[in-house]
Amino acid sequence: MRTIDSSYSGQINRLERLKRDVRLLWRIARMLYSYLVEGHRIRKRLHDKEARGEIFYVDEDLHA
Amino acid sequence: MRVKNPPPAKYAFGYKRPPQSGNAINGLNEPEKRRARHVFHNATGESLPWDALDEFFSQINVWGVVKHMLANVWQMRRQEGPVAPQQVQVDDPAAMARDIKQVAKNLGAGIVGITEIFDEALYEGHEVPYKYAIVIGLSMDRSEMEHVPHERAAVEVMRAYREVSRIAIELSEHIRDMGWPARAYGNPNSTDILHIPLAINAGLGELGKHGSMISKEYGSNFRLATVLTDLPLAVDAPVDIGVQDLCATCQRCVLDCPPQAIFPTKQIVRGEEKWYVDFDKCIMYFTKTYGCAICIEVCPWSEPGRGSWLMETLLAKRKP
Repeated sequence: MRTIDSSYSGQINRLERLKRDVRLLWRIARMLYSYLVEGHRIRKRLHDKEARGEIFYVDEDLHA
Repeated sequence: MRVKNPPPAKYAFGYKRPPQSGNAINGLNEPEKRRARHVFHNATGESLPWDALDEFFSQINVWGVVKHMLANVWQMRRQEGPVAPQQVQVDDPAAMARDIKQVAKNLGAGIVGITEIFDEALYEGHEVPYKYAIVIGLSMDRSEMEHVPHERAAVEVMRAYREVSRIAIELSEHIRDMGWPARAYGNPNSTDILHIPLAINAGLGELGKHGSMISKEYGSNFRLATVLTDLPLAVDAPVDIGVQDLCATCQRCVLDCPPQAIFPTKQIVRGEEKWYVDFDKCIMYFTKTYGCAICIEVCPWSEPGRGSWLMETLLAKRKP
């Protein structure tokens, strides 16, 4: 769920701005989905591993 | 304040293959001057060595933090926009600087300073087409921050980031309405600029032992956002409020840091001697505790109403 800063957009017209806002809304929706769904799995896996005394390896277990 | 029973610096997560040390990325012990590189909370889209932990931090964070973060992403669409065709002429940059600071304060800013943009305040590989930086500081709710390291404090940090970003956005819109280009930079995710060096150069405070800025008004209990612009403005000078005198002997943040990440003496970082926090030690505890913030809250400067007294006392001690 990384946020990406918008590119320079000072002089874009209204239609382009609308398209940009729709793209941004879509990205926020994906971030929200990622937090709720993937994040839920990650948090559960972390707690399970923690309960077993194992280490959650962020470079291996994040997308396992 | 003292933190009661912080969680131990033991972790149920980690790297199987540790990435390049964040201290190396930050330039610890490098004698040559160079610009900073992104290491964490990077919003440029570039792939970085600590990305996995950064993503893990986002995914395990609490909903109260994520809610403010998403709202902040949405409002940042207004960080740039159309510039009014009619340009307000500026004959007196000092008067304009006063006006802009007043506008920022009317929007809710606590402290405001202005500086020219300089090389060390830009990340490596990043340039900005502006001359001035208006740096805005907003205090956090101390009653929430007293709960560090806890999710209540984490939520308050992100709320303050969202609010100070809003102020920067609305100030940038005000400047664009005057016919001058302006772009707001929020936090915590970084792209082009480093807010703290800009804030220090803009006279908002000094770098403290805990690696954060200390201001006279709020200590370190605040968050920053910045507006870059070409609007002609008189700049502020860096200040000496006695922070170096206090940090030279005070050990509060060093002793209270559970992972012992704060160096007790200044280090050479990218060719400069400065206070420095061990990234590799700090970031694990930071992640475990949703952003920690112990060091900034235990700092004596962060005690409400104490800043002016500390400054006067420390500066008076220097007199022969």
